[in-house]
Formats: sequence, structure tokens, C-alpha cells
Amino acid sequence: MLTPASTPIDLAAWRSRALAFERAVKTAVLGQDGAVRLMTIAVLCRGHVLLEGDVGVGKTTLLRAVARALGGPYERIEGTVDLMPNDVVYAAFVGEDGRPRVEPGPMLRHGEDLSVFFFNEINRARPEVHALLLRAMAERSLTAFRREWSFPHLQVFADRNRVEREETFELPAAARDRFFMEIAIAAPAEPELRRRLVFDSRYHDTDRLVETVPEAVVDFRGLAALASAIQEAVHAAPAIETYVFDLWEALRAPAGAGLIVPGVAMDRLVQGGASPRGVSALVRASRAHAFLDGRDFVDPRDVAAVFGPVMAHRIFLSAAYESRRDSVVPALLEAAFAHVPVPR
Amino acid sequence: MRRFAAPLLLAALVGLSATGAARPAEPEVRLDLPRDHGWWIGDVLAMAAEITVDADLVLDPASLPRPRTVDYWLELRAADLLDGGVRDGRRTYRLSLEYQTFYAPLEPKAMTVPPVVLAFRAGGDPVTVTVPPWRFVTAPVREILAPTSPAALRDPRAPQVVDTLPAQVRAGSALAVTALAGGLFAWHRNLPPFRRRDRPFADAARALRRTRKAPDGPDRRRAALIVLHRAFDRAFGRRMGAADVAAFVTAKPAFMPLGERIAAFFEASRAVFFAATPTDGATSEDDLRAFAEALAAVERRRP
Repeated sequence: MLTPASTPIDLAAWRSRALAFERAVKTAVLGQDGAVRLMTIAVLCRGHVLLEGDVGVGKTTLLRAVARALGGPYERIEGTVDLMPNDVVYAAFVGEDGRPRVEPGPMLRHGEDLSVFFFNEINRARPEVHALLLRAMAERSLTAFRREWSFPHLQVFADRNRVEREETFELPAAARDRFFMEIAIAAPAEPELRRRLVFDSRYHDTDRLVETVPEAVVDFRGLAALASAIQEAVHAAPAIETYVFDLWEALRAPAGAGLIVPGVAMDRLVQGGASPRGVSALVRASRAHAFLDGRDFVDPRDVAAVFGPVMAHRIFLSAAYESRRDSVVPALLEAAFAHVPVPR
Repeated sequence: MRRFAAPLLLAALVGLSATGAARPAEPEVRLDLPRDHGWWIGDVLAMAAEITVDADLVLDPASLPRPRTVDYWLELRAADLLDGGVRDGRRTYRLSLEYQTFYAPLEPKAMTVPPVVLAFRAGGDPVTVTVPPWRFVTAPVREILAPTSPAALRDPRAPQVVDTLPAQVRAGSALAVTALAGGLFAWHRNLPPFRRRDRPFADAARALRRTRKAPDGPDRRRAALIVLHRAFDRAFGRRMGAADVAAFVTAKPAFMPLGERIAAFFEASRAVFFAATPTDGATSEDDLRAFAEALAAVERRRP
């Protein structure tokens, strides 16, 4: 059921559907309310998401639950060292008659209706595969079988574990910038939830767990129209524009803005601040956050709620601080929020 | 003075380990001594020794006599060496020594000044040259058996009391300057006892009282809200938003009774600054002023 752009969209109904989507995902994923909210925002903004976290904290389960609640064709691929771009696009095999066959691979199998492409352990794949994925993410299109394929509903979800560094290929800066959000997943902190995760048999079998998630709670075909409707309907006041711009400036030149992070030479910290694409993603995510909150305007809390996941991976530090990224970037964001006044 | 009275060819002990073909000439020492006798306790005796050595001999400065107490009765006050230069392959040094005698003799007596040994070096071989001992006769100053009378003493002078007033004045003024500097430093660094209590809300209330006189306009209310926002930022120690109200009240429990009004303020500000259709009615400027005064009152009572 495709909603033409001309027909007005019932935002209130869509909001309750989005909240239902959140609830559906939460039935399978325990203690990740923040991450689920961020995933919902990414879905409402048609943004690609990279999940990062330790091994076995539920990244894959979360992505599978989201894909199921979203409905639509869904494809999954595992990143490995020997995975080549052709393996993503084509499936080559020897047919029953002994002759070689080439058929559409994972990405093309469902045609142009593909809604979720799920790339597991993306940092194990080679840069050639990253390049293919970059184009698919940025342009939602692909060239195969001598023709152009476009995927209007495509959303790429990827995950990578940050424990291993062996036999992995770091994502280039350009690739990370194309991810709308980078969400850090950690095991829930509450002892009660952790006990349930370990002892409740419901969480032992991931396949059965994901099957309990209601299917197609939101219609993936309507999301594109909804995303632009949200961006038009939710108001960003001049005070918010000033705030976002000030935050952007502060991260671009932290020393000039007067930010202080203990033990860090601020004038040498940042090599490149966030890109305009990144800041526009921030504004879109803030609007979606306000929409989920039931408001028709953005306020500073919306910006603060999505700032880290949207912006942290788009700040490029100088080489001296890159290895301390995990501690320096949160401290930098914290300093920016403690320093930039709002309203001004 | 006996001018080179005794051209003593004191071929002073030359410790030569020489096996060289051309045996070097002996060093020569000529003394220039003070007169033989007529010396009293306390007199200064100046003598000189002219030492002539082969040009390739270099004096070791470490062997020069240092001014010191030579004996219990003799003091060497000064020693001076003059390099006279080389002539005919021989180098001349002039060593001037100034002794002072403290010997109190009961009768005229000849005293002997001990010898001085100088070391020279010629290509690694040490050579010593001795300035020989010499004598002078010293005599008592006064009659040995003369009775001691008080009149022999010089006029006693009244003991002088040292005037400490200038020192007291100096010490007092230095103390005052130090205290003043310390006070200024404490004031400058905001240290006790000059610690200025930061009163953001009092400042905000004052600023709002002042704006009452400014021309009225649509921006005035926004400006008033911003003044209060900055005051909250200062009081909270970082930028404060609507989400921070609970943390603020927990950190500063004195503001607990105003908690609802603080939350309402942030809501009102949100409606003005961020809402899609800005509402301007909820709180008037007078309400804001009263709110600032209430905050300032709490702040005054409890820091």
C-alpha cells in the first residue's frame, strides 16, 4: 500500500504505529530501551545504522527484531575476509545439468523491494565490499546484470564487534559518515535484567525469540513518505538552529569555543569536525525524536538525546588521540553540552 | 733592607730525574728581605724572592703559598706572584710575601720564617725550588716588669645603645606591605577571607530590575528569560536544561520549595523559544521578576 505524497499523512496514527513498533522490538530485546528508541528514529529517518558493542550483547538479535517488526523482504550476509563484492550481488553455482549458473545474489534476490539489508560483522569484510555497500547506502542503487537496480526502501543495518582487531578492516571515514547513526550496545546494567537474560529460557533460542516479535508493525513502503512528512511537520525554531550551529562550531574548533577536556590539548584534538551531512542528520534525528515524544517542535532535549549516536563517529580526531577515542569523544561531547548556551 | 744581601745560590734541591743530554741550568733564587732587626709585635714584614728558572719550566700554581696562619706567632697575610717574562732562555718570577708577626718576646730574639717550596713542571718532570728560611730579630714593646695601672688603659667610652627604631620601622612597613600583598592576592584569586560569594540569581534579579526602565518591546521578555537561563547555568555549574531541574534541586536542596516554579519556568521558556507557534502569555515579565527575587532570596539565605 503505497501512500502517494499528495495525500496528507495522519501523523498521530503513524506515531502510535511507531510506538507499537518500539514495543514489538522490546518484546525480544531486553534492557535496550535507549537503543530501540534510536533504532526507531533511524527507521523514521530512513537512515542506515551501525551497531557497535561487545560480543554477545544482542546486536544481531536487535537488528533481526527490528527487521521483522519492519516487515518487507530482508536479507542478511556475514562479513568475512574472503567475501568479494560479486558474492554480495551474484550467486554463482553449478546447476543440476552440470553447467555453471549465475543468479541474483543476496542483494538482488528480493528485487527492488528489499527493505532491510543486514550486514553482520562488517569490519571483517574487505574494503572492496565496503565500497559496494557505500554506493548502495548513499544512492540506494546498484549496477548488476548490465542494468541499474534501485532500492527505494532499502535500509542497511550493520554491526561490528569492537573486541577483535585481528583480520579486520577498519571502515574508512567516508563509510562511517554515511551511517546515519552509530549505536553502542552494552549489556544492560540492572542486575535483575541481566539475571533474566541468563536464566529465562525465552532468551536462550534467538530464532524462536525473534519469531515472537509481531511482524510488519509498520508498513515499510510508507516510511519514505512518513519520513519527509515528519521533517516538514516538526518545527525547528531559530533558537534551535542557533544551538545546533553553536554545537557544530564548538566541535569543529573546540579550543576556540573554550571547551576543556582534562588531559587533552584542545587545539590539537580535532582534525575534522562533523560534515554538513552529519549535522543535517542530527536535525532530522532530532525532529524524529520530537515526533516520537508527541511534540511538533524540537527542543534541546531532542538534540541532546540523539547527538552522541549521530555525531560521535563523524568527529575525526588527530592521530595522537585516535587511540583514546572511546574516552575522549564522550568527554568532548559532554564538554560541548556543558558549554554551549541555550537559548541564546 | 738588605738588597739581595745574600745572593744565595741556593741551588735549591732540584729533584731531577733527568737523563737528557743537555742538562738544564740550576734554578736561582735571590731574596729581597726586610731589615734584620727592630721589629715589634704586630709589625708587617714584606719580602720578595726572585726566582730564575729555565724558560721551559712552568710554575704549578697549586704550589703557591696561600695566605694563612703559618705558625702560632706568624701569619702570612698576602702572597703575590709576578711573571717577569723570559730573557736569554730563562724565565723570572717575583714572589712577594707579606708576613705579620705576633710574637711577644721577653727580650730581643731572632725568629726564623720557614721556607717556601714551589713546584715547577717541565714536560711532565716535576722540579721543586725552595725559597730558603730567613731570620729577623723582634724585641719587646715595653718594660717587662712595669706595673700595670688603670691609667695605662685608654679612656673608657660609655657603652652605646644601638638605635633599633629604624629597623623596627622597616620591619613594620615590610610586614604591612606583605599583608597588603597577601590580601590583594587572596582578593584577586577569590580566596578566603575575601571570597566573594557567587550570587547569580541576585545578579539576575538586579539585571531584571534594571530592564524595567528599558523601552518595552517583544524582545524584552525573551531577554528576561535569557538572563534567568544564564543565572541557572551559573548556579548549576554547567548549561542547565529542563531535564536538569531534578538534578539542580537535588544538588541545592535550598531551592526545593521552588522546584515547581523552576520547572514551570523551563516550560514557559520552551514555549517561547522553541514551540512551533510561540506563546507569549503564560508568565508575565513581572512574574519573572518576582521569580528571580524569590530565587535570590533563597540564595541569600543559603549559599
